[in-house]
Amino acid sequence: MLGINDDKLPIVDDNFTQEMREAVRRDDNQSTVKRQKNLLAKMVEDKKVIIKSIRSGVATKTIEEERDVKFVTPV
Amino acid sequence: MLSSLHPYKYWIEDWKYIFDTPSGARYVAYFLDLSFISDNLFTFNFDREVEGTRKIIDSQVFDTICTILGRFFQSHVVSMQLVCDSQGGREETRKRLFDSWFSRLAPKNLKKIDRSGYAEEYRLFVSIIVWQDNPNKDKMIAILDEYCSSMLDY
Repeated sequence: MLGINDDKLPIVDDNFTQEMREAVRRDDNQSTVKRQKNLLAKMVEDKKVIIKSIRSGVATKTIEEERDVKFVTPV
Repeated sequence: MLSSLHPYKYWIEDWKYIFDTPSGARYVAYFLDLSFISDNLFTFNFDREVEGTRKIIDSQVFDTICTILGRFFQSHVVSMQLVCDSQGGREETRKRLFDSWFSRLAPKNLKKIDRSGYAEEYRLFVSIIVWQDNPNKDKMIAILDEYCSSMLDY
């Protein structure tokens, strides 16, 4: 018969699990911040590359594919 | 306001707005879709098509860009995000120019919210323009704040 021996259960350290949760939360926040920075950096880089491409006569469709952007003519 | 402007004739070609000036400069303006950030959000850019053409102070260039932007805001319940280009280290000049244009162009119920943050090699100016009664206004501002605050720890 199987029984549970309390002495053999892994010791769960509340402080340790709390630290783990904090670490995961910090990682999540850092990932979000990194994504946001990357997105703004990409937008700035896109502007530079797009105007260079336009000046070189590259078609909009090609720019869209290369830079993963979408031109629109809302007016 | 738009009726008082004297824009150059512009046309749409390959998803870009194009106009020529009498001095021979050709300008290209374009919108990019930013719906992956938020619905009805666009970014707007314009520049001369040929680099190095002589710059001439030309108020009709201002009128033409303002006409395109004015029609954009007249016809859409949308928002526009502007990121000032850092090329040539002239991002502050571009921001001041845009501020002056906006103050001349914008109706009172159009709101511009400015933020800035430091990127690796330059200061980045980001503005969002939104109608005061846009139901997503607060959300747009929150997104802008979130993005720019993430840059401040560079």
